[in-house]
Amino acid sequence: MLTTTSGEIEIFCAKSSPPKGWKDLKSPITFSYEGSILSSLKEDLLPPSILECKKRIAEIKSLDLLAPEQLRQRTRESSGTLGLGGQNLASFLHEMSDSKRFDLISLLMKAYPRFTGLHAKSLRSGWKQLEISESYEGQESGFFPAMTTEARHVNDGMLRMIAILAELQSENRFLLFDEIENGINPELVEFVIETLVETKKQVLVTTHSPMILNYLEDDVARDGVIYLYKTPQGLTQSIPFFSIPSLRKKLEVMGPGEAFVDTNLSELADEIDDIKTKGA
Amino acid sequence: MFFLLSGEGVTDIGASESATTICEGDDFYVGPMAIVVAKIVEAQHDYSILDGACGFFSESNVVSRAGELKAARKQLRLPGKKQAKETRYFFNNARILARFAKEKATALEDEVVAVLFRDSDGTASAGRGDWDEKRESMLDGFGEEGFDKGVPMIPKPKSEAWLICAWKTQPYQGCKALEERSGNDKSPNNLKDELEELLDEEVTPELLREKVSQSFDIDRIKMSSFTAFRKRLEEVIA
Repeated sequence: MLTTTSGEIEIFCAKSSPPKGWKDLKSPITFSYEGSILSSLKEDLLPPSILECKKRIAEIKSLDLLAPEQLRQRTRESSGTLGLGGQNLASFLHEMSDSKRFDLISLLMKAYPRFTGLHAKSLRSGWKQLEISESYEGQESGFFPAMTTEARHVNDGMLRMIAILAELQSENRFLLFDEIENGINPELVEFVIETLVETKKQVLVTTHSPMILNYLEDDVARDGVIYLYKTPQGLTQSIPFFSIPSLRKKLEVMGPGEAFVDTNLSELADEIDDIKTKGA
Repeated sequence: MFFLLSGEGVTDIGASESATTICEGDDFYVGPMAIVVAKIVEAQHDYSILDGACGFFSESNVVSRAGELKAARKQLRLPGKKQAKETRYFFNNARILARFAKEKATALEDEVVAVLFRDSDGTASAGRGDWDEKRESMLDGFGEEGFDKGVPMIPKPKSEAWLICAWKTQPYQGCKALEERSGNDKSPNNLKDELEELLDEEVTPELLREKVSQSFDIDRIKMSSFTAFRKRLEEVIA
């Protein structure tokens, strides 16, 4: 357990028998910090399990700022990962192995029936430019040839989709997608969700979209949907959404997204408060 | 005319003592609210639906068939001006019951009336949402399935309020206030505890059945949620 109260940080083991190598820590906070206190503490002060937790959190690949303008940029190299805003996309795809690129193209073809391929074209001085190819009917007659489109003319949603699916081919084990629904064609939500649920990586998605939730199977929703809310005191809290009795009941007769959108969230705090103070 | 009754448990509509989907005859453990339905029908038609003219459809059977509605994940109904929040539970329950009722009507080649009991302030609402919107939503759910003999039985906030009205020290008087109470069983002075104090013994389904049979005067209960239920039931059996 890690707490920061009254200007003090305390790490203690909540279990009666601490794991091997555990040492409690209690010390005044004598510095100004931003973000997580874990990032500021010296590693040799941290018990092994907390250190492991810190490392895992640091390994989370966050794509919370995917920006179409950055996805369109010509780039030189990616070092095997996309930038926070997805700015290394072209070089990331260029550096990708053939088998991974093949898997990525296969996935994109499922999402976009007209899609035939993507290319990270090499330009002068090592710059890479992303292009996508599509095939349309009437190709034989010459009126509608197979089209190749430069990234700067590709729609935002498709670029985001390429970035999301490409990241699934990366070496990162834990991916975070913020408000994944942004820019994604509602027709493709089912495909995106199924792909994310089936991936072997750990995926954390933040969303306000009932449609995203509605494409989760009930058991996945029950285990995986965490509701973040603020208390009247301004503290951010979390609770498994479908552990709340009314939501659990609703889920029996409706989809997870329907249950979410049917619920008056501003009044839900009362029920959560009731659970936490009196028990479910 | 056959009556298909569905509720939340043994202390309202009743329970099923068999594994059949629609349980009838001796397999239907008749709960106190089913007796209330029977009294209203009997007052108009002079026969008891409990003599072989009713069946029970459990809440778990409703849930087991909910997959049909949930399968249409793309058909996400959003709340808006025409549909309030905290009503979908009532809408979907009504749709599922209506589907069974229509199938039963075809099998029997007879008219089927479906009575759907749900507390207004039960687990699925936890005090949220308006009673009239929930009731309207249930009617909409029946209508969505093209079923015109659906009857919402939604006590406000829960069935204990109707029972307390009939059995309190000054029976049937000043019962409107009971409808403004919380349905939360954990709240201080909750209706469940009050009913137990009033009866001065442990509240069992058997006791409630007995008391409703003997002393629950459908003509003297003046509560808006009861009146709405009774009026609708009388309308569909007329």
